[in-house]
Amino acid sequence: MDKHNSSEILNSEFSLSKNASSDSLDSDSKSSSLNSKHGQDSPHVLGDIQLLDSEKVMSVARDVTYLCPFSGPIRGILKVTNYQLHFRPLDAAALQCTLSVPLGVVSRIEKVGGASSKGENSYGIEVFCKDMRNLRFAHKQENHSRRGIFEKLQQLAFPLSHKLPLFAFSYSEHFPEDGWHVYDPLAELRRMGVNNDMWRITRINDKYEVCDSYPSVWAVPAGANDDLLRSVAAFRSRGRIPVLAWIHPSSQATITRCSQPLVGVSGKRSREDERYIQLIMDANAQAHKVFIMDARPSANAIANKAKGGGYESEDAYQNAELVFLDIHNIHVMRESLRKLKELCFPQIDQARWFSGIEASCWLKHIKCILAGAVRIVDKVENHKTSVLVHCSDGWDRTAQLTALAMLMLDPYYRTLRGFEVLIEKEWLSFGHKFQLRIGHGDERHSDADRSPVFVQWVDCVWQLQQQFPTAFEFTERLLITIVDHLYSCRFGTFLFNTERERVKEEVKVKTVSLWSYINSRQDLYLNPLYWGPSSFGTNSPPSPYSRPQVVLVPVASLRVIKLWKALYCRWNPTMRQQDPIYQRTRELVALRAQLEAAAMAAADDHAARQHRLGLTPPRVASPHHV
Amino acid sequence: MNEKKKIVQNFKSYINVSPPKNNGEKNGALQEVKPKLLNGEQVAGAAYSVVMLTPLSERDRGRLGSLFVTNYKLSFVPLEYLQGDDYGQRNHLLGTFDVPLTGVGAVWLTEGGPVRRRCLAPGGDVPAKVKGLQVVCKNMKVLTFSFANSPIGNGRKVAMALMHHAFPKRHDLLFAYEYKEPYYPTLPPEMNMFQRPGDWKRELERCECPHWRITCINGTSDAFMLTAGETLIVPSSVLDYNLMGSARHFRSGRVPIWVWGRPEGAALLRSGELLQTDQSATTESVLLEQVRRSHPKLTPPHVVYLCGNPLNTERVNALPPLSTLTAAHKKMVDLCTPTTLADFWKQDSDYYGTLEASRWLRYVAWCLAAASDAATRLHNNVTVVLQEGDGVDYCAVVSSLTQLMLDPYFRTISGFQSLVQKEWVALGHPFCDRLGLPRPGSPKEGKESTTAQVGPVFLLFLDCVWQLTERHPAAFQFTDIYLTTLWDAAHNHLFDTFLFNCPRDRELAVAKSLVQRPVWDWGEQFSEEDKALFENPLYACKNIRSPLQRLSQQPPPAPRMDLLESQWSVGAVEVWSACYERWLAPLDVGHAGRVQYHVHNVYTHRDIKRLNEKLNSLSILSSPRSNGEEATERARPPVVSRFFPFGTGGVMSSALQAPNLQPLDPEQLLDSQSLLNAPD
Repeated sequence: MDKHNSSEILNSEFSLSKNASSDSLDSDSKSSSLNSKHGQDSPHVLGDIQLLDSEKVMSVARDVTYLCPFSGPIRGILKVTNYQLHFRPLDAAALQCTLSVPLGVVSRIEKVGGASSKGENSYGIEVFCKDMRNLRFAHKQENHSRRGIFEKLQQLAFPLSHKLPLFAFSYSEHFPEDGWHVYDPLAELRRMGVNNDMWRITRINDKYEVCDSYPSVWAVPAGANDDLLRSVAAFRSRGRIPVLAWIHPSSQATITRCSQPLVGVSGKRSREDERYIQLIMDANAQAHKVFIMDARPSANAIANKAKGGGYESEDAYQNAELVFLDIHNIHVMRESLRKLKELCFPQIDQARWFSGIEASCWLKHIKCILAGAVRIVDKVENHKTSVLVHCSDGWDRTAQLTALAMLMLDPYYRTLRGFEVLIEKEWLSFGHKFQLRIGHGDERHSDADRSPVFVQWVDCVWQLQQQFPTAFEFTERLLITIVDHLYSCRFGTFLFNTERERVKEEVKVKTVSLWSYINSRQDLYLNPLYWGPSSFGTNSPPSPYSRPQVVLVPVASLRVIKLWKALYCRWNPTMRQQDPIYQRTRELVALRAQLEAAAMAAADDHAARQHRLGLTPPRVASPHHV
Repeated sequence: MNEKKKIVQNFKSYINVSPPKNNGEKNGALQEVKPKLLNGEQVAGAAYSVVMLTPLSERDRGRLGSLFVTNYKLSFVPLEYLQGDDYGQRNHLLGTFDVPLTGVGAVWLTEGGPVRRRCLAPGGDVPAKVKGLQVVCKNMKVLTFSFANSPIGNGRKVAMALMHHAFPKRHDLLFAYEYKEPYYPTLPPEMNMFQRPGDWKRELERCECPHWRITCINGTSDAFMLTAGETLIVPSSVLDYNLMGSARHFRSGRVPIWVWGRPEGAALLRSGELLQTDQSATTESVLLEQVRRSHPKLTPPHVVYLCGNPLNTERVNALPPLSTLTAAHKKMVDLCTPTTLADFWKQDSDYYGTLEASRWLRYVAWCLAAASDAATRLHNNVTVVLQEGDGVDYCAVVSSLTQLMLDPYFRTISGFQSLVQKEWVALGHPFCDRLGLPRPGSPKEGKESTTAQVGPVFLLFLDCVWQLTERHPAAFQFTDIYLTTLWDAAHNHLFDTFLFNCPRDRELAVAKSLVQRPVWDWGEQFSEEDKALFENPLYACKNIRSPLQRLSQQPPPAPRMDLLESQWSVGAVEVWSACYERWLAPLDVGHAGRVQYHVHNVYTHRDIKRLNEKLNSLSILSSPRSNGEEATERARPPVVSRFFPFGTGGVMSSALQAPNLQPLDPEQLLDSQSLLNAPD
């Protein structure tokens, strides 16, 4: 009887462990989350196409050969739906080479070879992807066999160029939680203690009339009235005036963000702007100074004067110290990542691997951004001084720096939910131009506005995670999932450039939020090593920060900054780590949980049995009873 | 300003203090500190009022104490004890600031600061005035001493003692001969030392290889492979007489010998390079034919020419000559031993370029790729014969790695130690030459010492093993902490394991009263607590059964062989930072690094063990023991820094020092200038 009981318990444990192991299987970084339906339990056969809600197969090409750079040519069936490109190998042994690529990832499509091209597999199409890979398909050299699929691909991968809606607007899967509610600007400001004596919430931009790329709700110094705000907006590029990003819970030192002042060649000044900066400084009683961190190299800042922009002169701004952080512009970053892609895909050049990394400068840029954020953190945390951050427009490098500094300063943003809030706030609401930088559904692949600024920031977050494995509630898997869906166009989160556009297009009504999807299976992303309290409620007051590791200060040295192989080199089987240590750690933690449950059940069972036999209960009670 | 305050409480600045007036005899207090001496250890030189500089600090900071040179170690004894001194691994034989003399790599003269002036050559002159010394250890630790406050002449005295004793001219000056402490072996019984014929027999039986036989011919006067032990394993069909005849066609008499095999027939053999003699090709094919016949399926063996085929002029993808490997290692050492903070950041700006130029990681990847290829062939039941130079360097690396990839036994701590005994010690890797020690019994220098070639071959092997453990974090019973400790211990001349070129030399020394003290007796150096860090909790938990599995009586039998499959390329290997960069204080930040996983898992493993015991006691005993001590709460792992249990414990890292960033060179960024000027 006893045995029966315990085996029942153990059976339920067993199902638990089965789940755990299947989780760990698909936490492999390559099997990205792109097409999975987290919530779904139905067994999925490898190689079969999994259609999402409202996804339809639009075109099928049989007898296509996928020229896999690692496994060689594979014959199979190519399907194009309104969401993805899917390739299924004919040979069951090659099923691990099944491809399922969301069309949002496609950057450009080209025809390779012509009807008269010589050589095997010389005729077909090549698909260039935004996620560091290219796919080559070979078609039969007869009857224009590639034409149908090529045209369908062009149309479906670049819907905006063909006056069609993005897939996110047809997709309507239901999730238990609505991710659009994750970020509430008022609640987030309340978390930081705003309104207070020094900072007030203003709705001056409710209709996006003062600044069309800013959110509708701002926190500004309490001493600044709406007229002053309007005058400052006139002196800042695109009306992006300094507003609050983060406030230190104990010292009241703040991080504020804005765009460059419109100084121009003649060195114009604005009394209002100067007074406003003074108000920001005054809002922090601890310091008699404010730092203005200009993210750009000084040469670029000077060059901007010719275009009417520029930087704050220390003569005009009393008590302000200007620092240039030497971070290069979006074009340099795009070029850098392009070089990195050449290095990582398809094959790596054994003889020039490290010098290739050096030459791409990608890690040096990462170092520069991390070092810049460290300087901001140093001023805010150690010197209790407020910092104003800007670059040219204040939506690329500024977002990278403020979001990174906030991540280092505030453990709340290192929780899964807090991280979502951080992205919603610093990136989305403050108008990082996702549509322009990523080019969703747009065929102009060489558009100069495209740039991997957000991916670069995610890389910086990854560097922090690597340096401090216990500091984040989530693992790299969350970061990779976010990057995947940055391109996928399945969710509405990263569509459009500004909050204003998103409101106008009713994104929250017509599309699903990425956070709905992620929050429905949070367990997949949780870090077993996380040291934090289980949650930072959004309503809880700023915590007293009793934890040992509140502020993260990464080492901005190339000895520690690593190439994120799990993202950039993930298509290359020789580069993938086969057995990531955190996966094993998770299994260990799961095993402990099972044993804990079993021990508890066994103890209860044992106590019950003792009780039935009329014995005295075991002495688990406190000894005072004796 | 804040930073400064934080630092000052731990480190007093003595450098800018003007030297005391009475330069002759110091006040007694300073001289009273004494080094901790072992039984048989003697002080050979001392300097007082020495400042040991804090490595890589911007300011002149350091600690005051005395510096001693003994016949065993270089020892700095600080005047006052600080809290951080106890951090991490503690060695019973060596203090925190001690270095065994054989661990000293290079000695530099300085002006008292961290900047090097001139390298002191062993046997060379020591100038009359020595203001400061910098010691670069073989494990990449850098110690810098200033004698600015010391009595006149102290610096020179200690420098001369160091140069004399750290680079001894005779083998029997090593401390292993002097150490008087009795030794009681406590090695685990499952460890195989490969010293006697019976040890080899045990291995042959363990591997279940009936087509091979043991010969002791090499222990007789007919010995032909002088650098190997007396016992060799060869195909059953080969006669000793034939072996003797064939030996002269192979370098150092290294005919192919068996080192590992599987019951299905495939075996792993090592041999030296074939000499370019008349009959050599024929001899080789005769021997290989006998190897083929030892395979039950008569599969012909696959020969791997690790340094290229000598009969074939093209040497593609071959491992480099030892001198090239040594040069590569030297570049790595330079990269990991900056002496000033400015150097540190300067190296940072060209880090990957230097890494490329060093080629060290390329050689690591090559060894792993060669081993992976050999392991795959063996897995497919094809015999592999490794061939290289004298058959004692890269052969040992690749052969050991191949066995680690195939045989789970070698992934245990005992198994790994047995593997090192077999492949490195018994088969005669010339540790004495490669680690730069004097050869035993040859006081005559000159000719002999020029043929002795140094080379970090064993380190290359340990680095490769570390790459394997990173790739397969649950496959090995030992941790990278173990590997790093082993590398440190290789430079400790108190143990005999890594002191000899071959078993023959060791036997001669033992005959002359050397007490053998294998490094594997870790209890000689470390407490149980430190030894516990050698064990990988992820490995230990593989054998713990989940609650359901507990019901089934029998645990599944461990497989005799399972292949650790992985492809290796330069892109897939990393710098072994936890070993090479562990002394770089600016990197040693609290809460940081991979070691956090280890510490976390050690604690989880403890919980699991406790729960398992609890479950067992509940099911077996009629009354549950509920002693109050049995905490159901999980203990929180302690806070450790990146290089735990080595390094400085993050004490010195003033966390917020912003690096002095040099702006990027715009020309590096782009090919075309136009993009730079593009509008933002």
